Amino acid sequence: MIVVELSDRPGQLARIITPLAECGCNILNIHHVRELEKEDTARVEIAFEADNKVNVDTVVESLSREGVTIISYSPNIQTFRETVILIGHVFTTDITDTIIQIANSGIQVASVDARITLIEEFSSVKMVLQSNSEEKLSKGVELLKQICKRKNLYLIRSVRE
Amino acid sequence: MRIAVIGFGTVSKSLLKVLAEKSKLILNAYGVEIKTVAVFKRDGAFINNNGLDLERIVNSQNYRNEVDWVNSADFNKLAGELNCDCAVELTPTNVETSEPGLSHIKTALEQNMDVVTANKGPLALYYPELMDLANQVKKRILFEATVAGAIPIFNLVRNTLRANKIISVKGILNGTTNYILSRMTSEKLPFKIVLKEAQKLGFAEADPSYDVDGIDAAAKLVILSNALLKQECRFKDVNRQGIKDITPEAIELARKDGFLIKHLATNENGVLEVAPRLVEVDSSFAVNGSLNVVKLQTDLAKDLTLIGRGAGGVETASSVLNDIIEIAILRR
Ligand SMILES: NC(=O)c1ccc[n+]([C@@H]2O[C@H](COP(=O)([O-])OP(=O)(O)OC[C@H]3O[C@@H](n4cnc5c(N)ncnc54)[C@H](OP(=O)(O)O)[C@@H]3O)[C@@H](O)[C@H]2O)c1
Repeated sequence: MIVVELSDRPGQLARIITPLAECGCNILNIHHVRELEKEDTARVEIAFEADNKVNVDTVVESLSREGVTIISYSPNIQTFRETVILIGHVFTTDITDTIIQIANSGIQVASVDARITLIEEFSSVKMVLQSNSEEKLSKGVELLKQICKRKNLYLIRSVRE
Repeated sequence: MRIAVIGFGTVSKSLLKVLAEKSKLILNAYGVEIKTVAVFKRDGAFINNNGLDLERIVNSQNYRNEVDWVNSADFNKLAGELNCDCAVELTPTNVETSEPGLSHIKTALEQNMDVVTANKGPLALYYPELMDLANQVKKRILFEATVAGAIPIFNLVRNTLRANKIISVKGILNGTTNYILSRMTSEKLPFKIVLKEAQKLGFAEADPSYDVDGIDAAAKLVILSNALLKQECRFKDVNRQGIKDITPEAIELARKDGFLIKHLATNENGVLEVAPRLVEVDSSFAVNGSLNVVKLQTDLAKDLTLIGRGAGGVETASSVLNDIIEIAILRR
């Protein structure tokens, strides 16, 4: 996980993605934090996955060469995922809003897979939620539970063993 | 030991049959003699102070003509005169009032009897009160058959995990919903069709809500939580979600990623919940048909999983009879 500071202009994300990809890293999650007091910069948290051969120092070095301001980095990047299924009027209750609400809580909706029958009938939607912290993930799932309750959707969560 | 059995249905008849067959074996193995002196129905009872002929009453074509039949005999009124050591409560479960079981159990304790029961209602609603009452009168209530039929979960913990702390419990506690979900998965059929099929085969009741809405599993989870996690809780404390809304499409989506949908009862961090959950296809919950699963997380022994039959007359009688023998041994 690397946290960097970028100016809040278009095209800035490419400055970090390209060096990371060149180092052989697989980017799992990018989280943009806009700080109120700093209007022209944004803090960006990047969670990535890399095999053992990739050295975090090399990654940091190549980012510095690009002129990116690195706020912090930690070598242990772990991602936590939970698969969930929603049943009901998932689309007519605004699925985009559902996803945005979850994303705003700091966890990523990594994938969405849906089975739609007739629009007036129930659809079934699978989502994979992802986060770099187990606690955040649990909170995200808890939030989704509340959203589903409000939107009258039936939620099936995974069970931890 | 003298016992009175209340109820003469599926479980009771299986118990009486097994008692008739095995009482010599039990006497030889444990040195205890179990004598059934009364068996109660709603409209009366078989009573014989010297012990009933169990084979005869179980096979009786017209019970009202049996010599030992006493019309309108009622356990609550007669308990004081039966001179019994143990009452075996096997009347239907009721999660709204828990009667008639609750009164039977209280009467038995007050009349100085230990109690064995397969009836979930009284314990799901009044576990703390009933255990307090039993302690006051220095009697026991054993209830192995109330949860997961033949699976000896309470005995396992009581007798073989004595120093362990039970951290969490999870399980598939209802055979009917497990059967329905298994069929929906293997046949790719909708809930309604599989339910009809289960009703035809006798796996589901005409009014299926007790099973498919998770009421039965919730009652069992409450008993597990009180007894194993030492958490005082009641039926109303369970968050409950049934299986009626599960679609074949949801099952297919789950399968694509290596998951099955199972109806799980869980108590984690004190939160009681019965709900459909995604479990990995190679998980210990990936058990099909009407089987039950109970999984414990403990501090010393770590994880333990038991799989077995959750219902059936003889299977349930196995647990009831073991409790009766345990009480007989303790009273010897
Ligand atoms: N069946 C299973 O596989 C299973 C598994 C685990 C636990 N259990 C539990 O075990 C209990 C018995 O189940 P079951 O399947 O044997 O039930 P069942 O076949 O419906 O039998 C119930 C019996 O209780 C009698 N009864 C009802 N009210 C009574 C009263 N006030 N006084 C005396 N007797 C009364 C009935 O009398 P009549 O004969 O006069 O109708 C009947 O004989 C239930 O609580 C059930 O939840 C059952």
